[in-house]
Amino acid sequence: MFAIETKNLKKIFAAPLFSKQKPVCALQGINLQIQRGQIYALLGPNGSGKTTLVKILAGLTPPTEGGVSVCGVSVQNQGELTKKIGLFFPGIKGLFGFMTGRENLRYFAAMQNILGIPAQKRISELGELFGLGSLMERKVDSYSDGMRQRLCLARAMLHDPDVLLLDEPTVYLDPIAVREFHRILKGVLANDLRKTIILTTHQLEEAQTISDVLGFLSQGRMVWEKPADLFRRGEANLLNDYIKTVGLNHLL
Amino acid sequence: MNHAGLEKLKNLVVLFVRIDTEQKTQILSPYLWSLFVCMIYGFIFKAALLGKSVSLGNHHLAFPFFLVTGLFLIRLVIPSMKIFEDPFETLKNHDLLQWILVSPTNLWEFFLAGGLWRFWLALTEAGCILLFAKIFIGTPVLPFLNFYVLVALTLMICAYAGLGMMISASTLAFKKGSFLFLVINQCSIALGGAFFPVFLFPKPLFLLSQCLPMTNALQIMRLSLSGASFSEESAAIGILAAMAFIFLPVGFFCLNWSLAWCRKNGKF
Repeated sequence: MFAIETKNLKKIFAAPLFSKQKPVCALQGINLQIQRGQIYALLGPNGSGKTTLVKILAGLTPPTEGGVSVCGVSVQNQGELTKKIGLFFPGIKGLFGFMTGRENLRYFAAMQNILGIPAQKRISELGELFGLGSLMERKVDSYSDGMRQRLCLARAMLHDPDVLLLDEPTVYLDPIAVREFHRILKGVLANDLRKTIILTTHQLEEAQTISDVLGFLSQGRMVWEKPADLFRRGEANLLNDYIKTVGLNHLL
Repeated sequence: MNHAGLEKLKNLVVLFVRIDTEQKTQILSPYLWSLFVCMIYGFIFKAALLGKSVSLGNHHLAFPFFLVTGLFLIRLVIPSMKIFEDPFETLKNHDLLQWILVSPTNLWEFFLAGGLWRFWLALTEAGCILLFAKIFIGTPVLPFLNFYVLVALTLMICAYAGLGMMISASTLAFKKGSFLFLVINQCSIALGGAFFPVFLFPKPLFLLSQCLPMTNALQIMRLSLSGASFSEESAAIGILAAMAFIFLPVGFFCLNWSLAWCRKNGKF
């Protein structure tokens, strides 16, 4: 069984009510098969459908056509899906800055139906796992961006999901924090805990460094899928492939 | 609701309390408004108000009661309309909407928690008006603690909460809700009869004022405070109850529909 499988996935966004705009076809027949424990990087220019695909996988918006399953659970089954999926946003917003890290996690744990002693235990575990330690007692306002990212990752892991969806996870980070973040993603989550990770990114180096498979979306279509090893070994050049696929006109 | 459900609800309510109390000025301003308004009426108009009464048809109500009921309900219009909109705004402002949507927490659980907190705030604001009115204007508090006053209060809050949900739905789906909010809010304040009897209006405005939940709630409260019988209040109670029982489910339906529409079309 694949961790994530989509069959001929299509998504059409209706025009706003009472407007003259036309419906937008965001995804056109996406077929994906992602193995458990894999890190899959979704690449593509702005508006190519990456975030829409992540939103469908998370159950945030339903597909117009086609089948989508996450760990054998259909995305229509929202109740079960929420147990399988952890969603990660870049941590500039979405946390309560006036609370400590621990308090933040406690409220988010309650939203995940994890309450009382099990919640305290899980929060302490995650604090250790992501090296938050004494930071957990500090107000989030005083955190650096890297610390916030780690807290957001801990938040996404509260209910121990099998699949993590990360939308541009390193967008606000400096190179050292990026490196630390990659270590956690690759070393701890994918290798040790066997979590399946899908990330969208514009950072080509990041994509080829930490992912196992790269998928390239353009205008709602999956143009190519290649193992990241190919790029790491130097048998192909990711930037060249990117430019070839999108076209130089788009970049200029 | 089981123990875990209550524990979760408690956590969500406390979360709203903490978010709101972080912005202290926002929390304090309604209470300060109550204080200043009662002080102004007390210090400047008290002598002029004493001994005056307002005609309610077959009954007369002492002017301080007339004034305080108006202030009391006028404070409740906006909080009632925003009972469900405010929690939703909180979610959006903190960039938490998507996170909630992929968690087992239903959006309505969040609305319920936020609504309970806002309802409590609205009631304490109204309580403050009564307290300050007692201190500065000399209006006794006890007559307000009667069954019909509570009925009027509850039905009015339900009716405005329903209208508020319809407005939120319109904001979500058509991006045109603030205008409706402004119209209903301003009409309620201007035509609801908070500061003068509505029978003084010209006929068209009088008829319009009868369509507002606030007018009917005020009528029930004032008649009840002036010692009128149930039969004299029953028409206003009937109209207000009909508004509450129509607006609330319609508002719920509209908001649910627009949330589903936004979700389907990726508008969150």
